[in-house]
Amino acid sequence: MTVADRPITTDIYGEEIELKPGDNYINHSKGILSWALTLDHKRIGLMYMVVVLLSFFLGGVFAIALRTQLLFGAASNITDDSVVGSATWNNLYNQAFTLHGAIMVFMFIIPAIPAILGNMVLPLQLGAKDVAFPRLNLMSFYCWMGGGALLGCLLVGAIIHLAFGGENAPAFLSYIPNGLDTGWTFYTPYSIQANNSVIFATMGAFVLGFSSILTGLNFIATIHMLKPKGMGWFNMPLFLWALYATAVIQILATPVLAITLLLLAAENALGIGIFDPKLGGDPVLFQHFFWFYSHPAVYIMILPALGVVSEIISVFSRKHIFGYKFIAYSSLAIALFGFIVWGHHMFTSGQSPMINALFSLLTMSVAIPSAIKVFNWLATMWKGKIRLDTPMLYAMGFIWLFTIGGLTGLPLAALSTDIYMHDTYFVVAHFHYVMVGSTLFAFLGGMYYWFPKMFGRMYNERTGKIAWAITFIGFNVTFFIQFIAGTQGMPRRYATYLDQYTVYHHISTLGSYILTVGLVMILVNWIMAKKGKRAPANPWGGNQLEWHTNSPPPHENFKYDPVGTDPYEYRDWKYDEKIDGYVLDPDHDPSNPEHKPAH
Amino acid sequence: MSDHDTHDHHGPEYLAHHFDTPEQQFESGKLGMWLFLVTEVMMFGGLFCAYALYRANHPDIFAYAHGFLDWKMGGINTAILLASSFTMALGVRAAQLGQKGFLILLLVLTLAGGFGFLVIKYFEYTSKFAENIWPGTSNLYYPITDANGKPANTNKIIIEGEEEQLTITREAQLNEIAVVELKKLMHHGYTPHPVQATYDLYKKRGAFEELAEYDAYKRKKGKESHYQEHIMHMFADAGIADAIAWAEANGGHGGDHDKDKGHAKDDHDHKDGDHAEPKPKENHNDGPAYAADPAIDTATLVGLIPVSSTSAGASNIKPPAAGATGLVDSQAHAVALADDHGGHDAHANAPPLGMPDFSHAKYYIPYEFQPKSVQDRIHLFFQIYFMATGLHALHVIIGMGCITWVLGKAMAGAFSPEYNVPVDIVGLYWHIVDLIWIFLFPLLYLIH
Repeated sequence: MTVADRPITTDIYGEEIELKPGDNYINHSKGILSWALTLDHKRIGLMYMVVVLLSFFLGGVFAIALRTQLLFGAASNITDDSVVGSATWNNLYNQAFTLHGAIMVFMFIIPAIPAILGNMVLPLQLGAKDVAFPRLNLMSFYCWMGGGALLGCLLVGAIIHLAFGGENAPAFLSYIPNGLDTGWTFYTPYSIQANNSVIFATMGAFVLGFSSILTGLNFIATIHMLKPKGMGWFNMPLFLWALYATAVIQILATPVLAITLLLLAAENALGIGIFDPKLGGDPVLFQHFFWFYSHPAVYIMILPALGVVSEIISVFSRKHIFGYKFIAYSSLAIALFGFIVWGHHMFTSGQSPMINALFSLLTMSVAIPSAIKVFNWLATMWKGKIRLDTPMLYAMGFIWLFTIGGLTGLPLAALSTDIYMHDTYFVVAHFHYVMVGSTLFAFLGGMYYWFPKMFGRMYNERTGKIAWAITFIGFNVTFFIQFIAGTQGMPRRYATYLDQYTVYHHISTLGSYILTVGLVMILVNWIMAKKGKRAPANPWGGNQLEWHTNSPPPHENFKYDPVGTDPYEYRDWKYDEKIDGYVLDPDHDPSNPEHKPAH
Repeated sequence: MSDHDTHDHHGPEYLAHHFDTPEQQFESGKLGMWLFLVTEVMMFGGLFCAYALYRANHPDIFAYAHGFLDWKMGGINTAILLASSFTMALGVRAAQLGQKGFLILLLVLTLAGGFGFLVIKYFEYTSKFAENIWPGTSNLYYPITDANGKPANTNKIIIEGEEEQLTITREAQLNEIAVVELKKLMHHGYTPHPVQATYDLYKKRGAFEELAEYDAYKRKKGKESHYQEHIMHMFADAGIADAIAWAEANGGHGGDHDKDKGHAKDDHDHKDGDHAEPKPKENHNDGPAYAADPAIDTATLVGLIPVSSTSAGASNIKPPAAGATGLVDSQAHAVALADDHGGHDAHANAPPLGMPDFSHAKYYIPYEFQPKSVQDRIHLFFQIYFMATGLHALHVIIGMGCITWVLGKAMAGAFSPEYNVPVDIVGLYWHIVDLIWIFLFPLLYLIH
């Protein structure tokens, strides 16, 4: 038995504790049912982690398929009988980008941080035993599974069609959903005429929406009702503020998507005509409805990421967060502004110039709270004792990518430039910088940051750093070149392109392979951490309440009812070289009833 | 579940392990339900938004279509839901006071209310289906076109000779719109000057080339006969001759109205509806200024409208009854309404030729006089009706399921003055179901 495998770890005071079966949430009880029917927020978070990462893998496979097809998609490669450029392959390309978008948006980015990290950490940061409605939490997980299964039907259906389709297709094929090729936005009227796969897709997204609504509802109620003694709204960790703002959007926006998708499914199944111009319906109404949800949904994706970064930046700079209230309020401001900018998706859909101008102006206003956050993070790092561990690298990478993603949003918000760049690769690059560059990086950073708490093991720091460098380089190589391709006029969602764009596509595809290598390394690193060093209770020295319990936490989370203090005040935590973690002087722990607090 | 039961309970049995006090637990439950109600409001809000858009675009069609719904059935359902909300509210009180028997009685009454609502809804839907009014493509009024504008669904009743109408070119659509504008005007009691009318209507439909042609004619003074011919040609193009023929039959000129507005409203109960004679405001009776212009004589110019006819007064509307005969009712109503809405001073600044500026006037045109392309929109009303009431009925069913669950707990004696929050939150849900109906009922059944 190696040293790392000794079942011994340290508690928050640095005292050795022996790990016994059943004393943490992972080995608390055994059997499939104890997981499938669990009400423990931490276990639900882990189950989310498995399925959400699986869908990230699927979405990634489609992304690589797209980029690989584009490697050969230059016009000069296409002869009449060529494989690339044939109708079948173009059709497959359409299906691939649709499923890539739908899976990544509805099944990965939206649930990634709230459902995995939020479920895991939110009650811990509140010093609570669980979320307010544990049963609802489990139900929202199964809603996710149900919605995921419906979207999975599309995938299976597309494969069956690929296998049995063609001229002698058997009759049963018409009952099986064919691949979805509407794009993840389901724009009418095409989505009305498209095959029945639209019904599966919309119902899948509908059920996934329920998962999102129930999670948001649970988080709001938990934050309102389960704050511990000593914690008010303004000494809550900023991750909670971010999740709160996210939940507000989930509650207010997702139901609108629900009714939109319901109407669209009825449109496709019954032909009710509300969005069908042929029948007197208004296709732009669909766009309004869709973006009334889907623009705020962009903030469902980014807001929790901003929260994660606020935590990491402060902890790894060993310095109190700068401008706490500004960061907290800017989360709410982004959530509220997010509701009044949806029209910028429809600048070319025939809105009146007046509405366009208003939406353009409002869209630019989102830059203000976003910039407030960035400046506050930089000010937090200023003169801090920065520890360049993997989570911090991701957080700093986030600031870089988020800034690029945010600033390239401005030319798209400005009417004059957007008319030119609408639906070009510039837009693709912009939202990938915000969603992949920012949200994915923050998610990975958050995973590394809370990894010791979740699993009680340390990942390999060296591999983590190398993998960070590879993903960072790979991401920028993939997407930065797309800004240039976009300004040169390369339209999005095309399987082929003029020869003049060849170099951009080749570089971008190369980058996507580099990014893939980095992501695989991360996964391997996490899996290898199964045999990693036992994590101390507080490896990073954060003062948020999740670091006030053992790693991994016991089933009931805390030994004592914790007392909230300033989450960004780190002076009581001293670095202990022996355990490579931070320890707390028991006399300085107000939560510990056995010790009299010194201050 | 099982893993949570292993904790030591630190309070009453109903207190979940992660709450400190029952109050905290109840408050959380209520907050959660209120948040859920917010999502319900947002979801139905989308439907109401679609409703508002289509009603704003086709107020006259919606006003006509609502006549298909039975307001009495809807009214009874409203009363039933309100009563069941009342019994539910009383039930919450009974639970708080620990009156087990009374609570059970009230919950059963509430359930009965929900059941009664669904029964009436069933009869309402089946009567609609009997009239061939279905959600989706089976609707009698569904526009029967495919992508090429050709009849697409052979399951539908195609009125003979109507197939040709289905091919609507852009030109024909523009003409139809032009005709509607003219009919609006004449319906309201004006005999428009045809030259100005043509000019205005063509301006409306954006036929700039023809406008240029018209201007060219205008410059060639002294060629009156040519000019008249051309006007007639353009009228025929636009189908305006039809409109004028119609105006002739109904007496286009708003001259001698002998009934006042109130009378017209009383009259709308008449089944044949032909006595609903709206009286425009006084300044309308002055007639257009061009009538006094000797240079252009309307009647001779057009050659269709006898002077006697135009001055005969009384816009004697006798719309052909389409669909259910009971609709004539709403027709007459719509005509009476037309006056309510149209009788304003829109033409205070009359254009040079004496034409009232009817572009601002907002009054309903009876369904029958709408062009086919606008008539086709009536199916949208039914689609929204079925989507909204269907979704609401689904909520009623879910609500009844929740009440049944609470009823089971009540019968098992689970509730006490200390613990009754499930009754409370199910009550909240039932109230929102009621509230949504309170909005749906007038918006669908009682349109004016």
